[in-house]
Amino acid sequence: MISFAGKLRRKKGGQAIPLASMPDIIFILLLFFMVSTVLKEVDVKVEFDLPSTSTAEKFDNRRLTAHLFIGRDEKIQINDMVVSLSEVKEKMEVVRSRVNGVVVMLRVDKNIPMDLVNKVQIELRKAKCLRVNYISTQKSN
Amino acid sequence: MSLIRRRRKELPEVPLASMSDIAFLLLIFFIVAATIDSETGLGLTLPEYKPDEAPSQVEKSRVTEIRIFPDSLLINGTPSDLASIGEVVSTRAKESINLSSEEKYLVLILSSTSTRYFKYIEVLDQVKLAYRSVQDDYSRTKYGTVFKVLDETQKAEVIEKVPVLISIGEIKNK
Repeated sequence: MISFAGKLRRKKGGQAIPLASMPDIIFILLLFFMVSTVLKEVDVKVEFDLPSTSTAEKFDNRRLTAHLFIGRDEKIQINDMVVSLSEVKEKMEVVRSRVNGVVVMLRVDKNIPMDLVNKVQIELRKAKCLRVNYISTQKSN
Repeated sequence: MSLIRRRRKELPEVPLASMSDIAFLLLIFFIVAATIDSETGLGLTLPEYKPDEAPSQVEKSRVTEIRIFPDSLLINGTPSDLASIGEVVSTRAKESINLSSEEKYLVLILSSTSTRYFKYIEVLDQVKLAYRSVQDDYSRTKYGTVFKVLDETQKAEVIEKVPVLISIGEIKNK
């Protein structure tokens, strides 16, 4: 009888998973996600279709980037603001003063004439934002 | 007395059983809010802006000039198509492997004002593809593998031999 009782007790002990450290594990996961999340992506106020390419490279360093959009209707948006062409230089200078070595993520609608793209690029050069990245979708082969 | 003592004992206790539930909720929020997909694009460094100055002159023999019009394409002045860009650019890049860095050939992409953006991106894509294939060829003969898997110093060496030299500009309407 004693041994039977002992067996029973051992079985019970074996089944229990220690749950005391559970909150700690979850907190560590939580901290990881809190640190690695970049919460505020820009509000996109213009519409565009991206061109597709086969040599597009991944770009991961989000903290170094600024976003510039040129929409279907030739509206220009820098980060969260819709701006006119004449304001591009001024705004980009502000961005550059905040982020050194900024990479400008250009999202341009594929049917925009190069005239406008070139004008925007000249403004970027005037603002000394020389690194650009033409965002495109990956061409499926 | 006994009443007071009991109350004092009960006060500082905060229920901790729901702690993990709260943490779980927060965790789920951050997992959902985290954006995992990274952006893909074609990187390019624009030339510096110099006002009242003619664009820096490069000897014609060093330049592969691609002119993009809304419905045609000229490579060094001869009408061409998208598919032949790769061949021209990669042969030029191969020729310049053993030249010094000041003599390397470069590609100049000029687009007319009415060209659509995607045409320009298509051309840029082809040029990049050509450079990439030359870089791969070079690293295969030198290290036996493709460029992508080389370590940083090897990559730097290949880039020094086969730099991606692309300049852009526009064709002014006459």
